[in-house]
Amino acid sequence: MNDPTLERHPIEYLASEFTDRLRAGEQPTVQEYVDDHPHVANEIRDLFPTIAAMEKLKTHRESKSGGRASLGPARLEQLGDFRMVREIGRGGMGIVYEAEQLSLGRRVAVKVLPKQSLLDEKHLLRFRREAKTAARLHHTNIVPVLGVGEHDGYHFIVMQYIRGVGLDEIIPHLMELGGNSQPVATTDQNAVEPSRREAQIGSVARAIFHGEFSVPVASAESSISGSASAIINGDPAQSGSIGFEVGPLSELTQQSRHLPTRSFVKLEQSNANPADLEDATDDPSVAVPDESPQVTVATRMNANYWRSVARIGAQVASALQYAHEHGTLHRDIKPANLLIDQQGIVWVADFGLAKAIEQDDVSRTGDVVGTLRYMAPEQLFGNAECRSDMFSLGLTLYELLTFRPAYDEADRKKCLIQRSVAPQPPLPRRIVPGVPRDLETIVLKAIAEEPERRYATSAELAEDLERFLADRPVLARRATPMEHLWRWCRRNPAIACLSSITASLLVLVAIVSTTSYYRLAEEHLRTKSANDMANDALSRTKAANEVAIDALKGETLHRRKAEATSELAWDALDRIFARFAPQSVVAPEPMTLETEEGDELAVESPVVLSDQAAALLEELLKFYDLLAAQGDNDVAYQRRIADANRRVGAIQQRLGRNEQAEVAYRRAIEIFSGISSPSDDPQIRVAIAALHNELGTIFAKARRLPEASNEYSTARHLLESLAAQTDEPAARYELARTYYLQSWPFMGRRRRGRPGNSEGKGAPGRLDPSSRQDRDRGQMVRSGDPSRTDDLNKAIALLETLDEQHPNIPEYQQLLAMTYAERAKRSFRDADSYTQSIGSAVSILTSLVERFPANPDFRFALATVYATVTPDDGHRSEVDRRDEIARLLSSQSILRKLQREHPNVPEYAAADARMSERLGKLYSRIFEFDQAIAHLDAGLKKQETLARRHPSANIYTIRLFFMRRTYADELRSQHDWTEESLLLEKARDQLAANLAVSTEFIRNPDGDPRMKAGVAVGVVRDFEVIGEICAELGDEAGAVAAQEAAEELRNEFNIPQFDPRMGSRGGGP
Amino acid sequence: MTTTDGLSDELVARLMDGNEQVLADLFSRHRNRLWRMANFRIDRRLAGRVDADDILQEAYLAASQRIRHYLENPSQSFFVWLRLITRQTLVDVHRRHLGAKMRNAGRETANRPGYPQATSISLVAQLLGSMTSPSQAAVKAEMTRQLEVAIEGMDPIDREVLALRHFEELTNSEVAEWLDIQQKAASIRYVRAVARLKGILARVPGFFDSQEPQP
Repeated sequence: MNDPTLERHPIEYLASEFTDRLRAGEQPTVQEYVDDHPHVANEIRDLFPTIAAMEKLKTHRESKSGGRASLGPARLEQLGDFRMVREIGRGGMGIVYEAEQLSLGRRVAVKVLPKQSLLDEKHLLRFRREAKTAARLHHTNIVPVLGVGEHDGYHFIVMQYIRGVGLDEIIPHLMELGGNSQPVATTDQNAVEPSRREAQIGSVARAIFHGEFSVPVASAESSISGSASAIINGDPAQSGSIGFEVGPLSELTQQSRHLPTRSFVKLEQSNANPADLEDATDDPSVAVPDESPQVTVATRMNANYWRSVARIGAQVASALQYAHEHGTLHRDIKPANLLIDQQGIVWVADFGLAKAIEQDDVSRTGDVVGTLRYMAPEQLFGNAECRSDMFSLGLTLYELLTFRPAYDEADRKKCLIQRSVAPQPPLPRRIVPGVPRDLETIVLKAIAEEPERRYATSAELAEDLERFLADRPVLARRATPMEHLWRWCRRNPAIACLSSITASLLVLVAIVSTTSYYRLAEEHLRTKSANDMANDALSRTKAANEVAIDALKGETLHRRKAEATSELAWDALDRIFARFAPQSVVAPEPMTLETEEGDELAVESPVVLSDQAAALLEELLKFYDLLAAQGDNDVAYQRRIADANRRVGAIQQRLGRNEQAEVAYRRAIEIFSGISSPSDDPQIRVAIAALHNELGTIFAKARRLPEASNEYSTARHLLESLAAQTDEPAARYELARTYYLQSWPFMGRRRRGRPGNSEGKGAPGRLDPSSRQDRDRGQMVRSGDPSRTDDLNKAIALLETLDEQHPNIPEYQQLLAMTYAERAKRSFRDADSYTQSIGSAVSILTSLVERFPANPDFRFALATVYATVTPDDGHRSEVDRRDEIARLLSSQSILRKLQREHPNVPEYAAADARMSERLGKLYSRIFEFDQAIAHLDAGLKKQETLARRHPSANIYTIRLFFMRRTYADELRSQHDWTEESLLLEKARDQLAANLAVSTEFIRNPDGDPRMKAGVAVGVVRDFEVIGEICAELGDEAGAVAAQEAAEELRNEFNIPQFDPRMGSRGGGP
Repeated sequence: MTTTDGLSDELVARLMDGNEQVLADLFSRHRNRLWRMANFRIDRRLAGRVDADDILQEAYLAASQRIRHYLENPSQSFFVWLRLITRQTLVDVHRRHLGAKMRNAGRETANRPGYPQATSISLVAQLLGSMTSPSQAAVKAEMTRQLEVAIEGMDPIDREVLALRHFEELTNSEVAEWLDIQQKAASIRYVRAVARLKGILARVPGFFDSQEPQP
């Protein structure tokens, strides 16, 4: 540390010494330094008093603590009646101390919780309740909870002190014994805290390894409830504020009563003479035989070890069974929570604690992460049950069998997010061939992905382990070849589709055109450009189309045949249609121009199609148009014509021609309604309602909300009366869809009608005054609108019933997933509901993706759901953010794959760019600035490409403006940290790049005036920020020029001055 | 110099193995200085809600999550890394509790302050913290204002150097590493900063009297 004096300023060097002496409690005087160093006497006289003053101030300040009790830099030494002896371990859920309970003179373990984990009354109550429940558990293999307490603002749990070792610490030793890894540091090499502990761990590890322990497994009934009571109390003399609460006296037992005698005696001995553990290998109960160091892994992993593992598993399973019978879940079974004492008894620690200190906004503890690794898939989504504990135990046993975690530590989060799609861990016997087959089977059954495939109860698991130990056949069965085949088929549904490709030449052509699209998509990276590929698909579709049209033309002569053919053509072309213009049940992401003033301007969010897709749809349109124009009185045929009109409408809608789409839809409704007595045919009524919904969606996307609302209401009336009469699933599905559509964030929230409700009506150059209402609306969305939530719940209820009655219908399931996702979005401040809803949506979509791997819609929906905005009330931890990052990365990886396969669907690229932006922001919040920049940069590049490729799609350009602002903002805030002016320059350049495009945008004579006005607000802001940056960079001329430009635009577009009192956004009364 | 200063290969190996105990021990070795940093930099608005202990608890968890990453590619000494983690935790907590206020507060002042301004506010609070006599209290408000203006006028890095050296008890070499400047430059900055601070304090009437400086 000491640097040569030459390297440092001589005064600084002396000052350091002076400061060190002050800190050491000496009283160095300035004068002695002046005397010793006369050549710098003046400087010393000048500066040292200031230095001394600062040191003094520091001490003064630190000694008076803020509003709350604080132990300052000192470490915890005593909590009421408990004197901390030493720290045993530390984890996210707290610090565990070995402590002495002074009043009773006994040794206990005290787990002190992080202060922030029990901030409010609600959490405190939950904590106490859970601790009380845990205190009622009396089982040979459960660490007894003696009580809970509070002192000096610290909450703590008092447990029996177990002279044991965490399994997590034992595993590395086992690995070493198995010859599987580098040696574990032992006592001699141990630099930090050389201890007997290592020896203790080693001896337990060896005993396990050689199967020296043979502990009978306690049955669930083996516990004895004692009646003696031990009252734990804080020492009132120490603190006036001890709120000590323990369970009813009768429930606090003399813990030793139910300890196995051997253990009890042992503990007593240990307590009486701690030194007897000095060399634990001397302990006769864990005598270690000589072993040859040369033995190989295969021979070293002897049968005894596997039996030890089974015994550990059986003990824990028995403890779990007991707790489960008493209504307590552990929720956090993992090696660190399993203590093994010198007798080989396993003690499960921290029962219920995971739940007890689980928090809405404070779940930022590291243990939650550590825990994730052992968490069952369903638990991840908030559905913990008894078999989730079993799963965690299974993973722990897996680790004991293979000496490696079932899930890779580095990828654990990613794995967990994708757990349902992630493969099961490799078979233990593949990693360690010596693992007994039966034991492997047992463990695999315990960690089956679906809870139903695990053991029904932990007792069954314990029993099977006992069977293994007794060399009896185990009950668990390995998956049969049929099951394997079935699972394989489930993952490869394309095989099943193939048989349908034989109907006719026409269908074949059509399908070839679509499948070739896919095949080409896969190859396109190395062989063909995206354009070639789409053109190829286009020409094939044209060919198919011609055949179809010919077939139609031959209609009069070969009516029946033609009909059959056109039926097939219809189906085939429908496929193409669906491929290029998927019916989107996803609510359009509301795209608004948000301004500093808090105004919001809606930007239409049309489906943007690539040129090729548009051309394809035009081709299809020809076919449908032809069909739609057919005049015929045949009812069956009229339906077809109405359908064709509906398709025409759908295509026009996707081509952005809303007026034509509206006309076609209305015609379809008219034809359907004209079909004789439509009221008799529920299908037709459903079709009519569906058309109204389509119309509603057109209006909703164009923000013509009253009209949209009308259409939805019409559909709703039709369907509600229909649903009252029939059980028709299609009617109920469409009704659910209607509810869902009506529940969209921007529906049904017009308290006052907007004057200019169709686009382009706002006065040019002025912001629509009603835009402020949009902001109000935004706030209402946040606070939640009961009627919309009501609609959503109705939709969910309907769909859940439908899915139950008609399982596995992809349409129903997809919509159900989307409704869950919507519910998640609205579960503000309710993390449980959020997690649960997202979990349900993910699991539905994941299974859909598995069943239909080629269907991009499901994958896109899954990506959307992963990216669902997390409820954020501003209290988020880094862990939360990292979770969100992991989800966004999953989403992005799906999107990237979709883009490779479908380079012509700009929506995928647009979503990808949005993910990058969000990732950038998130990384910034956790201070990974490089990552933040990398993601923002990638998003920006993608968005630039999009905007360039689709110049007519305003939405991409406007989004690009926003992204550049986000980027610039990030650069500025990084500058706050680093003060690197290069960052400011970069920020300025980003905004300047914006201006290059945006000024052109607002000068475009053909542009929509409202849109232009909205963009102008952003342009003004960009100029202003550039001005600020120039000022910071010392470029006064630039600052003035930017401010002038901003002012000029303000006047031109009549934009009011920004009022700082309103805050940067969304403030105001 | 080894970048992971003071960590033996053996310790590194055990840390890499995820040995929490080792990390806990190392953390507590630096705990005092980290506590000082947190205590010094914590926003006054958070008083009563969060204290330095809370910050450290959280920082420890963050460290245990990222230790492996650090060890794989140590780009700074261990203490400086821990301090960075603690600092990030601190800001994260500030953001969590104060949210948008942080950024907005910054926007409204002409001279965008960033975090160095936070340093100056803390410095002022520290410097005036011990003035509690009634007569002192009377001038305190005015002195606060004067000091704030004066300290605001200091070079941000000078300000930071003072805080690091005295309130966080960093050594010269650690300061140099943290600020990414040469040791020599750090020591010169330090001396210059003390001189400037002295100039400022000397202008505050009665400041040195109230401090009973060392003779």
